[in-house]
Amino acid sequence: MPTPTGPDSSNQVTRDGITSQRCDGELPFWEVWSHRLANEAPDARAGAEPVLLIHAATLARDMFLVRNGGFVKALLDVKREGRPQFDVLTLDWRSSKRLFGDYGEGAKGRAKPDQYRLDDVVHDVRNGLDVAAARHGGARVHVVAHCIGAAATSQAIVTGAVPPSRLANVVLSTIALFYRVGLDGVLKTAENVMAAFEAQGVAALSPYADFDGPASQDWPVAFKDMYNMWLETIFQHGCGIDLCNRLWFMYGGDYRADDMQDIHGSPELLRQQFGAMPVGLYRHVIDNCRRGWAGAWDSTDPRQLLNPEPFRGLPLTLITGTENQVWHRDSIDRMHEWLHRELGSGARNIRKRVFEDYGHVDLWWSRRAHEPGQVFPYLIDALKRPPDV
Amino acid sequence: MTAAGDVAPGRGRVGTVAEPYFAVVVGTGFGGAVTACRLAQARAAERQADPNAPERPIVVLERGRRYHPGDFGRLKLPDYLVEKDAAASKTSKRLPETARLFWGNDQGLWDLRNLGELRLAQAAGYGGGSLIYANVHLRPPSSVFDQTTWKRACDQDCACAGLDPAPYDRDGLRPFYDRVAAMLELARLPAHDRPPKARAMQELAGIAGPGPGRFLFPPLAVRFETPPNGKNRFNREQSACTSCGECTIGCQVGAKNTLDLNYLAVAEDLGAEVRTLSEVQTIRPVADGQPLLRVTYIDHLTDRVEQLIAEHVFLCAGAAGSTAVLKRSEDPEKDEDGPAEVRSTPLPVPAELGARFFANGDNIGAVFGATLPDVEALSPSRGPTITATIVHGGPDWFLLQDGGIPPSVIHGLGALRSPLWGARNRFAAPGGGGAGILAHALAAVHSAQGYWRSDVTPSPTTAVGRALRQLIPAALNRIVGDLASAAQLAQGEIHAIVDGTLTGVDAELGWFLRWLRPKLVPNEKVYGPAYQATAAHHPLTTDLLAARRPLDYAFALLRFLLLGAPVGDDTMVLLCMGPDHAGRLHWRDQRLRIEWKLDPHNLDLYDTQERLMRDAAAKLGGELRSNPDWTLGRKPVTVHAQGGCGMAGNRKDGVTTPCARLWTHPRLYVMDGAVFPSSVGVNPSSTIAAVAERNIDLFIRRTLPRAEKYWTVFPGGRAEPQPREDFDDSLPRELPVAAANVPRAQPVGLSWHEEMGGQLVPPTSASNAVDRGHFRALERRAKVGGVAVVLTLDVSAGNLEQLMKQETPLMTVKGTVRIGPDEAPETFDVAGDLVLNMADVPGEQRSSRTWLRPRRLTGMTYRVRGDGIQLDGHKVIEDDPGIDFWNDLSTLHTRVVYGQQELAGILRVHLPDFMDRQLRQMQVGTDLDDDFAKAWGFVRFAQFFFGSMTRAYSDWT
Repeated sequence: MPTPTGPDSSNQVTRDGITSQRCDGELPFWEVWSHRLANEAPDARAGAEPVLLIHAATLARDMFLVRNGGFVKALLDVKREGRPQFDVLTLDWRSSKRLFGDYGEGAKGRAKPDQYRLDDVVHDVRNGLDVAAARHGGARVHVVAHCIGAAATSQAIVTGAVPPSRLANVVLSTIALFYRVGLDGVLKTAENVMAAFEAQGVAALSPYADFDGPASQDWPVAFKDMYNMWLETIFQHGCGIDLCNRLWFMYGGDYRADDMQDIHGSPELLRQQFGAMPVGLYRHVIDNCRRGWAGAWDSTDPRQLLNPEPFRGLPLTLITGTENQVWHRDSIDRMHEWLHRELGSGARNIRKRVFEDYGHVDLWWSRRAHEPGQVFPYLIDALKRPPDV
Repeated sequence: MTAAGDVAPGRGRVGTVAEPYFAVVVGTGFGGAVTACRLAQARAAERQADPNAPERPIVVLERGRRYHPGDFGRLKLPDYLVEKDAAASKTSKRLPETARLFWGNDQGLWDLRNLGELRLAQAAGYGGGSLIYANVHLRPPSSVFDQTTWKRACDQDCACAGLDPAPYDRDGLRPFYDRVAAMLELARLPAHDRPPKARAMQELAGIAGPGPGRFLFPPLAVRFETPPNGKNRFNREQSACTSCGECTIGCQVGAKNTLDLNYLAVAEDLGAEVRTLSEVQTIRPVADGQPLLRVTYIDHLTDRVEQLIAEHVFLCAGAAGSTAVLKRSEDPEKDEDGPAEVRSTPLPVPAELGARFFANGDNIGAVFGATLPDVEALSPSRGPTITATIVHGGPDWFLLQDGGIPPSVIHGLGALRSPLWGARNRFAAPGGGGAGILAHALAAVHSAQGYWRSDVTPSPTTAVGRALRQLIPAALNRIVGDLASAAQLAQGEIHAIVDGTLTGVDAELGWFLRWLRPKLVPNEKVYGPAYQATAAHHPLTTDLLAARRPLDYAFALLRFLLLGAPVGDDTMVLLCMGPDHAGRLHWRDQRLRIEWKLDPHNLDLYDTQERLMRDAAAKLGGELRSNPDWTLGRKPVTVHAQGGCGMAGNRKDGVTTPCARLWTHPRLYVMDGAVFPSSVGVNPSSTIAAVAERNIDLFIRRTLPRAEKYWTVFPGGRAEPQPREDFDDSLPRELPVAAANVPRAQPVGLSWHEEMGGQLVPPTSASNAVDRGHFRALERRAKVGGVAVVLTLDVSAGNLEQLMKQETPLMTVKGTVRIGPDEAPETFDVAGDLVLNMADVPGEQRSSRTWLRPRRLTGMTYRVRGDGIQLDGHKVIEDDPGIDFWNDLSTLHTRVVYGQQELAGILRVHLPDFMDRQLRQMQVGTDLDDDFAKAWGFVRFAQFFFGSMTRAYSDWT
């Protein structure tokens, strides 16, 4: 069993029969998808390779299920010698929309957002890996992580929280250790804004004006003022949907809607996906953005996490979209450049793909994503790579 | 031997004083790639011969990024600026994507530098210039190497002397050229793949002159067929050229044989460590007396200054980059140089560092509106960037090549037609053209004015204009006519720009306008008839008036101003290059700046190139737009910079030895085009690589003698490449191939008619032409019994620009001297010259915009000769008390000798003659059809003449 972390290490059994432990008093939320989407018995995939999907901040496992099962279904359908190749697990870590809700009082809202940094996500990722591995007898686990989930995963690898020896193929989407934002995402680098909110006791920022939150009905006044000014600029979204504008303001352009108009045109579908952002987590991310690369919270060595050695020989796939406005594609480009530079031939298993005309989360939601040569087939191919190639 | 795939030496283990790198290679362009590859091969060969040989670690530092096929940045415009359906436009990004395109913006691919009087474009990336060059590999004609600067050998004892180094000439360098050709797998564009612009170049071949050798399809480092199993012989994936025209912004399909796919691939496979995004700042000797060098560099990934120690350093950062690194290294160590784990001392550098810096005579132009009968459309984005070369022979030979432009930046070519230039860089083909876009715009303005203007009452502008015309003397009508003609063209230009742009804006903002216009219906009550009238002519204007987000329209307007009308398929880019004379790089305020000589050769070269391009435009039936930076600001742009660390046989004359070692440090080498002692005049990549092959070969033979036949050490190892006769003779060795055509297009010239008359008398003594008192006395004496003399001259200069650049501007005169009374004069036909005497103005800087030195006019000397007659005259320009400039300009101190007689005195220009004849007959633009060029030529000459006059009559002396 994995080593418990956090003050409350009592075990829980999930509805899928997974034994897991709490992190800081909270229970990560697990789903195993073979018997849900593929109508199989819970243990039907005992010999398959475990794949752990790690979502982005403020979203939930649902981001991998968009469009009739989405990437999860695509993975479940992969066969090797006539048998299912992958067993798919999803992890809802602490800022999941399912745990955290629109603002702390959602369906499972028990998180403590004001105490919550990126370093804490590392614990969740590690637990996720433990659970997935335990379900398959300690097998190496494939990890596919998006956005802050990917940032936390790369941080977990660098810090040794997740030893590379326990990983099979790793896919990091849109960001890893290097943080680059475009001009249209500069709010993420605004100095002191989140620190001030944190000092004022603001726990989280919701993208909804009408959310049912514990403290107030909307953003802090300063944030609203910034937003209203921003609406007058060229950066604003243009579609007129309030949620889109708020997301664009908070994070940069979250998706390129051309190939997901069906989802974009349905506010309810969008609302099912996006939750609130913990201010503490956001503040840590801003620190990283301002620095340009990941750093542990309150670390005295700003380059402490820039250690390439854990990635040596690791089968790693880095992906992003050319139009990504949340994390500029340079975040992935620099990670790739850095690993190749520092590891030389030790980076020969590290690949990069920047998908043309994709933005950020539409990498998973675009109607093109499953087509040949596009995101899903490419990632499935990456996950099929034997570890030694 | 280090096997391919071995782990590269890790930092911390090497790069210290205790364990220095054997070699640091700075830069991965043609010099750096060759050097890194051959060093790695030599190291491997040495260990093959002796397994106990030292490891000799090598590190390659490259400031740019590593790019892969499909990985190059592309300009992305926001969807609302390009045609999209309405739904897409609602969710697009709002800013253009320019990241990874420019070095100044997140260490992107293109590094554009302003050196003051020269613009420089170069690459930053793993593979250097090969990532963005036009793939051309030409060997320069023999005349380039015949110059003494290439011929000099070391005049000191040099270790290379015993190695019998190959001479710098076509035969001496030939084996090295062949190695380059083999490594880069050069090929010629297949006949069946030739794009329309290549066929157009064939049509143009005759403009340079008759005879063979004028036209060629140059060898290209491009793969026109996908290799078996999709990998080249260096085990790197490549595929066939798709003729996408994107060679200069990074080949997304891997068809370019860029250096990372051959030379650098070999180096890496043999264990060379590569550190990208590592920009070298200084190279200085280690302070403790050991023969080591300390290299400091900025790590752009971690924003940290790093340092490493090496036995040998090979500097290959490009002509400007290498010079800058050496200039910085000359300074003492500073805190910002990073943690001083090892102290260093300033690098001594030769005094000639920065001298002999060449722009390779690069010139660019674009032909718009071409209508070549046999070519349907020129399709400037189809095919490799350069497909063909025309040789303009002659003593000052140069090349004319076609230039492709990538589809994603083709609209940028519209900058050459920007309304901001006022068409000053436009050269219309005789009889061609038609109403330009400015004309359309102005016509639209007039049309709109007509709505508000009564037919009876003229507008204030018209009234003032009419009044001014009444006031202008009739004698000036000719000049006014010229200017008016130019203005008419301007109107045409404006109209067409507006027309084209509005059409474009309508197309691009269609979704928005369709959405906006219905919303404006109620507002029409507010705007009233003015809105309706203007809307008919100016959708852009009314949209601006009605816009809720003016910023969007500001972008449209900006685009209109900067890019003019959209660029079509009837466009062709032309490139020129040829041997030029040098400037000198200086290091000021931590920046490189260049100082150009006032060099008639360079001016002649650029002038002839432009005229040949005008001939090409005329043959293509279009109009030429030259580089506005050159036309307006006299700032050339180069993509082929060379020199700055020139080789020479002694340390007094150069920076590096003929084997590329720094004269002032025995372990520091410069291995790129910076060492060229003259520009090669052709696309220089092949020569940079060949010279690097030669010099690294000498280094290896001297330092690693056990590494015999080192170049065979790569996958599928092979012997010395076979000579390629076809590549060697691509460009004729001996130029000129035949007498070159003088371009038919004429430069802007100047002429006027001048008549001076007076009474002269035999002089009583030898006269000094500037002695006013003496000539005034003669004038007084001539009032009684003087001989009438009338001098009638046509004064001309064939090339106005050249005239203004000359140390002593010289014009041609031709006319008559009439001596004697009106009823029975003796008339002599005469010819000669008129010299504008100039003096430097101390303390005033030369204008970098015009290359004109600040000079003042001190006088004008007439030297005319005829059969049996000799006339010398002099006007003295001097600031005496009072307003005397007319007197100075109109007073000719004259001395005439005819037959046995001699007369002297003063001839004067009379004001009525000046107004009625001289000014009326003044012409700018001799033999030129382009009224715009004439008008701007007139302005330039007025600036020059009246500027020098102003200095003469001001306190600047």
